[in-house]
Amino acid sequence: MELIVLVGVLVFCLAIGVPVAFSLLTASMACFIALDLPLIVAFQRMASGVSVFTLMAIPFFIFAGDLMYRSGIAERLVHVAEAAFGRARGGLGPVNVGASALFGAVSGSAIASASAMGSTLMPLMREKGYDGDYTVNVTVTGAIVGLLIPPSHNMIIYSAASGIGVSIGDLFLAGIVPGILTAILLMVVAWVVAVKRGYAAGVFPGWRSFIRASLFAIPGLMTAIIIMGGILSGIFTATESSAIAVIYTIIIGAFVYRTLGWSRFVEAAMQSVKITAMVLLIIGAASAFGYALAILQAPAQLAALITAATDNPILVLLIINLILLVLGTFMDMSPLIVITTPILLPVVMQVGIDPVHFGIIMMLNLGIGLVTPPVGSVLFVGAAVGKVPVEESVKTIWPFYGALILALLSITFIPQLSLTLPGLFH
Amino acid sequence: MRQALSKLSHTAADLLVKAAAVGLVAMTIIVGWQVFGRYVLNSSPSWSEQAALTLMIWFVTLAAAAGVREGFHIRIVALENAVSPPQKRVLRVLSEVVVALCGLAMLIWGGELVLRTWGHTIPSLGLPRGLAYAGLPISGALIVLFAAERIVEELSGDNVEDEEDPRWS
Repeated sequence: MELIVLVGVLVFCLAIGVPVAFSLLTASMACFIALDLPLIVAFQRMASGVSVFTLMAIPFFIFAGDLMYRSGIAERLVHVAEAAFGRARGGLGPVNVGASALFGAVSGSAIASASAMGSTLMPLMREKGYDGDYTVNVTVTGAIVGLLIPPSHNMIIYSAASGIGVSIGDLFLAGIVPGILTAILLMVVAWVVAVKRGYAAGVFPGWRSFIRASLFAIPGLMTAIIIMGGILSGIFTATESSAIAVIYTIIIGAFVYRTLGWSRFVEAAMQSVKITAMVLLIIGAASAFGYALAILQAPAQLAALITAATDNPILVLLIINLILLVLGTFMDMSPLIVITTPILLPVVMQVGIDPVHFGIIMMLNLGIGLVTPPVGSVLFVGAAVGKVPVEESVKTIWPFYGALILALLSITFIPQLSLTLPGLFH
Repeated sequence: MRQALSKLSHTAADLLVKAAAVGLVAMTIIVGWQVFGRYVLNSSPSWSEQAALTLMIWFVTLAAAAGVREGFHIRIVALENAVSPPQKRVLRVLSEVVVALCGLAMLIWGGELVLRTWGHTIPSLGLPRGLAYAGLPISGALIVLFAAERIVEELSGDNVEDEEDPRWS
């Protein structure tokens, strides 16, 4: 009964357009009233939900990603990818995916990646005769790779939402191979479609320019080494490494590349606090919501329901992947991570799936939701930057969805893809 | 009069975001200082982590209130886009009422939380725990005002702009 109140109020609020954070808060308050619990509990949970040290990495990674976007670090990465793959027929498609993967290694925000690639590579591709729908499709699906390649603030959200302290270092390591696999599959599709449409080949600029481009990109790529190296060697915590990434990006943006001025810095800081406020308010409200779910023993009930139907891990993962894919088309990534992790993680752990592995599945699965209508923020940003109607690019995006689904299935059913690297470090 | 109020509330929201941005920069400096202290000065400040976290809670609650005024909180607009303009107006007023009620609850029970935790001390900072949460009722009060302002704008037929910015994933 109380569960109906909780879920019913949530669905109603979401449907009439109440912001996600306030929908979660309203639903949990309604449930607490139905349970005769004092309402202060909701705010206690909210306050303790955001008073977590590791969550500080979220604003830092968002800030660092925004600063990188505004200081044009993405452009340097594009030059490297172009020099490496640009000479093949239709080569700018795979270049775009490769550059997104490189940018993902320094930023980890799919939207920052889509806007960065969109503003640097899209005009170049259009100039060389690539169609608008193709450029948008490559850009937005390539941006998903950045969610898997560390650092990724969504992995920190997952770690916090798991409630069992899944190691952020392990998650970061586990994302590398699946990220590279997804990038390769997308590159193949991008290349096949480009050849079929007869896009022209580029010219190899020569080793000299390749080396030159790589040298220029090194200060940007160092961010990845600082973050991963710092966390893995134990020199920094995840939070500290993310703050160092911000300071480092400011230094190279302002003094090495000299593209980061005061006004861009202020814009980045303001944009980042807005995004942080949105994400953390959702995390706080979701803590109250999660508490209500826990009192009602909803995760245990769902676990019983699913495991009664099947205790085959493969089937359980298939069912959960389907649920997440459907939810992902309607809702954005971060709220879904905070809402569904406490419910689904106990279920998958009961059938013997590693929480790190499940985290990686979740990243890619919900990432696919970011490029599917009706709610797909990365798709919308890419289409807006490319000035192509969303409907038009969706018509021809299917091969790219195919690559993402193939990657999702491989990552789901071959746990070694995710777990080998973290295993090596233990 | 109404226009002046609307301008005032937008300015207030902008100031809140600016103050929050200063908080973010300060937080970066504090955590950077912590690392610098540990490896260069060989003494890590004991207060830094708690101070950074307290700052974060403050700027998140304040910027969240500004988000109500500027409409940058993520929400589902599928239904809103599918119905006629008058129906859309009803939906938007209804959803702002829910937000205003949430703000009121934040003011009342968030305020109670602050009072109850005022006696506890945050370890290593020596400040009352309630101070860290004091942004909650303040933000709640601002949310009530901002949502009320938007309801008035909707009812008087103004075009209430949303800063739809999906750059957050």
